[in-house]
Amino acid sequence: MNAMQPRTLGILLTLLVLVHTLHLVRSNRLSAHLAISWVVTEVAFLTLCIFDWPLALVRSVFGAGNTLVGALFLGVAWMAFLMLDSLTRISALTTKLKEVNQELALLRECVDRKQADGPRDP
Amino acid sequence: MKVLLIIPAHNEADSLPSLIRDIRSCAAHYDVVVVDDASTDDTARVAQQLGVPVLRLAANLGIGGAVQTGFKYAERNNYDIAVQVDGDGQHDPAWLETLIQPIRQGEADCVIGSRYTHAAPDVAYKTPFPRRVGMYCSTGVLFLATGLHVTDTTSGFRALARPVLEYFARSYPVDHPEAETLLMLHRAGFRILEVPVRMRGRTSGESLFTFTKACLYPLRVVIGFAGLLFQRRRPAR
Repeated sequence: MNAMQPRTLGILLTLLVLVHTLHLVRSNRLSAHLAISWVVTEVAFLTLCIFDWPLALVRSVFGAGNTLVGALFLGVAWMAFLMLDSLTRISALTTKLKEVNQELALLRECVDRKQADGPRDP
Repeated sequence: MKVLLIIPAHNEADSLPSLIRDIRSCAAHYDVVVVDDASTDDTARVAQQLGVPVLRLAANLGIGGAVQTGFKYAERNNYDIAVQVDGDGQHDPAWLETLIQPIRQGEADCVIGSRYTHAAPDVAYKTPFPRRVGMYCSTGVLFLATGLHVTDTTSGFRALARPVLEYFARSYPVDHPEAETLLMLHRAGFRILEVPVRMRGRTSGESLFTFTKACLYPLRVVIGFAGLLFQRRRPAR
């Protein structure tokens, strides 16, 4: 198998994911604030696929025999961080949604009560 | 002392009328609020026709979110005691005084209506198998975590003093919260007391405690407890 093929495949797949991410942002289905860390990751992966120097850097840190394992560990750690960041945001939003929902119910009850009391004379 | 009965209800239009009637016949001096947890039936309309204030949740929050809405209502309207009474009719209002009395006398901050006290177990109540499994698990985990022995950890028939309802208005677990809340109360230094009660069979509708949920319940309890034990302690007041 030509060494170029996996690299081309990697570039194409990463471009596909990057384009899809940008499409989600453009169509308002994904917030730019939430997408930014994923876009940075995709660009970083694209750089890794296109250029040789990132892998050379990893090789210089972990040694020639551990280049792939080192790159894999770094990638997995970064993805775990991204997922935890997303989960934290989801948890915060879920709590806010619950509080808004509860506040709405309490306000609706207030309105119902006021309406049941009827209009008051000025 | 102002007492509020909080009735969380999800699709309980059929059982609410008899429950409200029972409350009015034996506890008419207590205020009632129904928390409609985004029911798809006429729960909210039925409750309003019965002349009861209704907190209508726009999206389903589960039992924990619904009950917490009731606690917020109780806190804002200056109630001294809040009692959770399930909308399915299983909690007999005849036992309300038994639950409230220890709080009035300053003996406890949270009183649980238990079907399984050793002194007076409710032998007539047939506990569904999934619930029994879940209960044994939560009882065991709670005992291991705190040394606290509560016989009916899944009972939602509870009376809470003002400081407890203020505490829960700020933070309350979402799903199957009963066992987790006991750990929260214990860690916050509140006094928990069990009193024997009798419970009735469900008058209509289906329990949310299905076999699948019961199988996952032990895991949920362990995760919930681990999460609470890992969190920083929150001050009670």
